[in-house]
Amino acid sequence: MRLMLGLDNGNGKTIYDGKPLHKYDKPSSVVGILLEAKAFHPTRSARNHLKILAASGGISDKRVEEVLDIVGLKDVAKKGPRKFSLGMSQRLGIAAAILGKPKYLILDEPANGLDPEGIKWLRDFLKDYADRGNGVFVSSHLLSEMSQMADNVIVIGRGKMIANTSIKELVSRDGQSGVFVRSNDMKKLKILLQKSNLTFETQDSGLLVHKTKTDHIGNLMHTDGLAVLELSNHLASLEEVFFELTADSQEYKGGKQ
Amino acid sequence: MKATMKGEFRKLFTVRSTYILIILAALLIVLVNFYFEGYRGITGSPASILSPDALKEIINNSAGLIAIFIAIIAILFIGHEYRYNTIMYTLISNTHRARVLLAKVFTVAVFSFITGLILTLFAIGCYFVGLELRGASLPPQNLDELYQFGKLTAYFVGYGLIGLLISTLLRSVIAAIAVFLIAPATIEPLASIPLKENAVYLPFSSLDNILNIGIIKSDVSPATSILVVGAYLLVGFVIAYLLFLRRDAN
Repeated sequence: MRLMLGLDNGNGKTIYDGKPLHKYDKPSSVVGILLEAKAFHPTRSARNHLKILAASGGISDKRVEEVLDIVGLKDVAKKGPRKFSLGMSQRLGIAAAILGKPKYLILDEPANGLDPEGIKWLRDFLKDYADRGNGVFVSSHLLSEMSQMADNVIVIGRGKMIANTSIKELVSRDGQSGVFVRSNDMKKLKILLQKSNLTFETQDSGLLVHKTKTDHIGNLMHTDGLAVLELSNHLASLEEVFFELTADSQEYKGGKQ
Repeated sequence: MKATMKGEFRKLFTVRSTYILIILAALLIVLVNFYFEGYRGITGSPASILSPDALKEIINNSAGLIAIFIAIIAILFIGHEYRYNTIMYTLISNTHRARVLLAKVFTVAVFSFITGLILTLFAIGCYFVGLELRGASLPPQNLDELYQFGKLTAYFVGYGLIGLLISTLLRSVIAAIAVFLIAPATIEPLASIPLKENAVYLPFSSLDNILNIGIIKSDVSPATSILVVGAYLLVGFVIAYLLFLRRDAN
């Protein structure tokens, strides 16, 4: 992310709507960032912190009050952020990121330290921001949160891109996806699936059949006269997919007690 | 560029340290100029024996004290940006690093000039109040006001910029303050042993020679010293700029 913003030196080029960032007169209207929650002077008030960013970015002070209101920090705007909790610091960081109404947001672990209400607020806020035609690029290890928030996902392991696709496609193409089925005669169902060359595993009181569709299983069971007690699509969670994709790329693996 | 400079000025005036250091400088001025020099009068002090150079001595000595605080403010100005990583916001707001550095140089120069002169006027005022309370008055003074104003301007701006330069190069508040305090008090006097009279061309000695208040005494003119300081700053900031470009912003 720092490379994308020109903060670190390295190879490669990042372009925003066809132009690198330094070609824009007002970069803060192109990209807003949150790379570190605690990137502020501890005794400078939250309002003054934002006013400095506003002045540097050619943004009016009125906008500072707007963003303080959006992130819910208006009541503590006079205070130095030294005693801010991690969640409050994240909110201040988000306020700084959206100050210039940028077309793109680049956020590193924005949900870190937020309480459940804060996480929901962030999710709704970012979805709304993206729905307005903006791009939101989030780096996170909170996979369940990402599965609720993101449209597209990039999986990186050991510095290499492993996947770059929509979440829907990613979870549906994964080996963990398939059909969950339950019948009154599970023994007969297993024989039927084996005859049809389908792989499956026992899950709860039913079977998870891999790489198939509900129509196919339904027809098979109907033809064989088996009663269907439950039949549903099973999509793998983003976490399951992530672990499967990065199985060979994990740097530090924990052991068992 | 204008927006960047506005942001830089706001940075200076929205932190407590700027005000604390200015107040500390003012308190020391009150103690020295009002109490010791003006009100009590120190035996042996050129100012206290009411010589024709008393006022010049008071101004120069006060400037020496004020400059230290100005330089520390300049060190904190950029040092804190690296310490708290707000430098990344600065470099996103303006992606041209040359302009960012130029805005910082301009901000520190203007701040040093104005703060230095205000505190100098305060120092003179304190001295006169002390004299008044003592019931003493100054004899006619040898003071070319315009010449003194020019020298003070160069001196304060020079100190402010040297603080900024050290901090930009080292990117650490503690290291920069250490170098700033150790170099003029220890390194340059030691360097004067092998360098002899040429030691006056060292950075801090040149700066102090503008007002003729340095440890190393010399006949080198203030104008020459201003040129020497200017050359040091120019070369220093070219190096600082090249490092600013090459280094990662953290």
